[in-house]
Amino acid sequence: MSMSDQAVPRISVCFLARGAEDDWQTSVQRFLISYQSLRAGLPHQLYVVFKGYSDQAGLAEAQRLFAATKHVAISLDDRSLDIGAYIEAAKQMTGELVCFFNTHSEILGKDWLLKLTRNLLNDSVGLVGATGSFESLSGTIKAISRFPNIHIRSNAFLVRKEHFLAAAQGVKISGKADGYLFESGPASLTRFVRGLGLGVRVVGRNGRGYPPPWWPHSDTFRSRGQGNLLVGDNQTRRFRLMPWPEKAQNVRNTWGPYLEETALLNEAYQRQLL
Amino acid sequence: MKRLGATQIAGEEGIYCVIDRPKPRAINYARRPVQIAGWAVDTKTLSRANVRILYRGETLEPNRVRRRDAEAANAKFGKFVGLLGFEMEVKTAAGAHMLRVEVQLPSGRWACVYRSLLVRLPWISLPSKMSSRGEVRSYREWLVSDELVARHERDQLIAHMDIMTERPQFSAVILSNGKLDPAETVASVKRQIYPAAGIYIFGGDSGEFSGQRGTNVQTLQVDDLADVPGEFVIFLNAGSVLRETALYEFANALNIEPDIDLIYGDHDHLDDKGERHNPFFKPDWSPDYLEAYNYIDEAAAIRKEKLPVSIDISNQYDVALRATEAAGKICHVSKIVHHRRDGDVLTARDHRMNIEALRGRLHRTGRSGEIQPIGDNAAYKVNLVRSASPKISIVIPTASMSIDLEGRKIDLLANCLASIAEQSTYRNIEFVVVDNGDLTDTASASIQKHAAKRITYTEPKFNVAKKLNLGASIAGGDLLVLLNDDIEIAAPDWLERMLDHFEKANVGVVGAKLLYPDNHIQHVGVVHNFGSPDHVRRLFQRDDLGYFFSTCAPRNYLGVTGACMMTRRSIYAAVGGYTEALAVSFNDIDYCLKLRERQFRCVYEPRAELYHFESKSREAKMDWDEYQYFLDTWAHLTAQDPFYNERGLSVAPPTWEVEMNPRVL
Repeated sequence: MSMSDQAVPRISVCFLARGAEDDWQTSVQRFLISYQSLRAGLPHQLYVVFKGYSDQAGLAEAQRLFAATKHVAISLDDRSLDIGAYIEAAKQMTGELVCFFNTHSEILGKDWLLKLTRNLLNDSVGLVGATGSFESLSGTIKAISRFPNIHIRSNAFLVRKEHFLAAAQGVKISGKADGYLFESGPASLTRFVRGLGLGVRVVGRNGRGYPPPWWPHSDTFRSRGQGNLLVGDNQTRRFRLMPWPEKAQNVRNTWGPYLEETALLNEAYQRQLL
Repeated sequence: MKRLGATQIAGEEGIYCVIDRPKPRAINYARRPVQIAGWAVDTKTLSRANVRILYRGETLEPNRVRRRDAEAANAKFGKFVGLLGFEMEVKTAAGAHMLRVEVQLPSGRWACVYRSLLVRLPWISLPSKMSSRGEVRSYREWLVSDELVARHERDQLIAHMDIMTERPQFSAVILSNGKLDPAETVASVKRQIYPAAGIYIFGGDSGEFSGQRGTNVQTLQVDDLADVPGEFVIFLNAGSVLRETALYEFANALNIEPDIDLIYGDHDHLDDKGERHNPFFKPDWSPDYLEAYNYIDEAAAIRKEKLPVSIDISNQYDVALRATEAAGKICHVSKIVHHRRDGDVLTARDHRMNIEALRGRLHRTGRSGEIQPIGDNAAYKVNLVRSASPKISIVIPTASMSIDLEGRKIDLLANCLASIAEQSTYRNIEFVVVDNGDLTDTASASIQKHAAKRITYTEPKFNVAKKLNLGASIAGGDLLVLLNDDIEIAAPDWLERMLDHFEKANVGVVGAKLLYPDNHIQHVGVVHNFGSPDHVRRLFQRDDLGYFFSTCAPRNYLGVTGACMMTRRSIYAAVGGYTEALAVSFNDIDYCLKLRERQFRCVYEPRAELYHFESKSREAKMDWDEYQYFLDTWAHLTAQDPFYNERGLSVAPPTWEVEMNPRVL
């Protein structure tokens, strides 16, 4: 069923304004400017999670930044990092669809929410994001699957709330490793959604939803000049500034042999992405 | 340790060393193991010199081998004892890691005799010019997989079209000029997966195409685009074939950036059998290249409101020039979007129309001059008529050296000054010489003879950036030419041709065509391969046309060599001149990139021809700290050169030859 055949569900958008991040003021302002200048394309309720401020002054400053932007404020402690905050916030968000941005996110294209939603409301899709990756942290966290480890990155994604909370059930985020596991581990959100028989898509600034085999060719995360990114973050900005040898290494880590277009025609490679 | 040549090191302490492998390059693209081989001798003790290899934090001792050539080369010192040669195989690691070879001096100190950054990309085999023939394919080979991938992708593109948030409309206008049949062109527009809003035939009869299945084809009677539906118009020559995804690609670009006014793609050619060949991988927006050659060509999507109300659409060069003048954003889609038919012969009428288009361009931009084709090609050279002849300061840093060139001893500075003074037709110049305080008598006399300004660089450490900045500080001209002293003029009007480009707004730096004394190319522009700058098309013949006129026509680049570059003195000062932290290398390209950040363009001018005795005066070397600075500072601009397609053109070295390379980024 496409978007034109159904009413658009209520959408909640959550931005994580985490004060424990380095130079959080720059990050928050960057997001705010992008949010205010690029229309979402669909009505939605904005939630802002304030957490991790070392003192009241910091928190007050963050709240002041958002004073002119209609939002619902959620205050959380910083014990559960990003993913934990998403899970707690989702319980309070009223939309049937929930969209999350981390502190470093920057929206890069107009109608961003319309583009994400149109792809999510495709019958066979359960999770969309601005970026995805095949990179595996199995060298650091043994439980994570080896390359290719298909996952939607958690900087900016949209999912049905019921699916998100079901995937998060029983998940305790007490450290970074837990966050990585929810993003790319054996019980990740991506794997949960795929386990339901639904697809995952990276959505570019062009509005096209790319299934996993096409992620290396989408000009989004660590792909060519990243010129099709719908939402950027600190990692995409860092990649842009990396010297070439480091860029090449990161591209290798992210996409490996799938970088070549001919990998799309290689059945053995494609089976690994199923 | 003094360098005698590329790999031979001679020391005052009697140590000699030769490195045979790897090659003496700043960067070596490596396979899994790298062979290191050479020999090292102590001529005082008539024995081998100790050698060690440093790689990735490890110190390795190479194997010793007999080298009869080393024994023979050093026989004049006496009979040597022991095995003079060394060799080793080093397993390279993925990424980029420094390799050093060091020789131990009698004092016990280790001296570095070789350094190279070994870059290994382990998931691909590297092309022959880098190390071994692997995944590099010919265009024809690549087409096979490209067509399959395109078929694979088709359904996804159609699904994307259903949810596009921007729905631009394109009308195709097919120019029927009597040369080629428009039937296939019409059919290709009708086959578009993103349907055209309208199809028009101009200069011919649409009757035979009307009523056919699909979009109605109409005749465009006059140059009036107002009746043509859609925001965009695409002009096509009869006989050309649009790829079925062309309009989709343009729509896709507009969904990324809705405010683009003109979009062009790459094209290739169809031979008489209908086989695709000769692809033109175009640069990103290059206004100075466009003034020499209509590289945008047909099949560009042009926002109709950017075209003048009455425009002669049969003159496509004029359309391209006017459209780009009016356009805000111009986008290059780096994909083949159409196929030109072979056999479209350039006629005298075509030349007249092209020259007329360029004349109009000059007039609209407040310039005038003589326009001629380059040979019998569709590329043109312009000799401007200038109202003013601004003063040009030619800044020459010198080490006051002499060289032997084909049996004659040349004082480089004196030769350079004489060559310019005697041969250049442009007269409003001054020389500014920056010396080290050790001028030869010949050089001093030459400076006096040519009334050159002179300033002495007195710091102990060599720094060409500081020297140039010093020279610029006493220059009085509106324009600066930064010039090596190992240069001779080959074209008397070199200064005028470079100066012509400064009649245009936003040109910041102009480079020249430099030749080796044997008339092979030394410099016709700088491109970036794998993030590092390199001269393109080196060692080709002087009269080379280039890749779609890359050698013989002006071209935009990210950088040009500082061996000869012209720039405005005001711009030079505004950006702080050359970056003085780059004492030895990359300072010229760094300067060009500083200008690019400020929206100034860099232009290569082929008719500014000079001879350059590269590295005969000073051993070419690269400072690794400076290389790292360059990589760190400019990664965001140089990782993918906008003027050179690394996927479709030769890399390491870059020669503008078509080669389909594996993807790295």
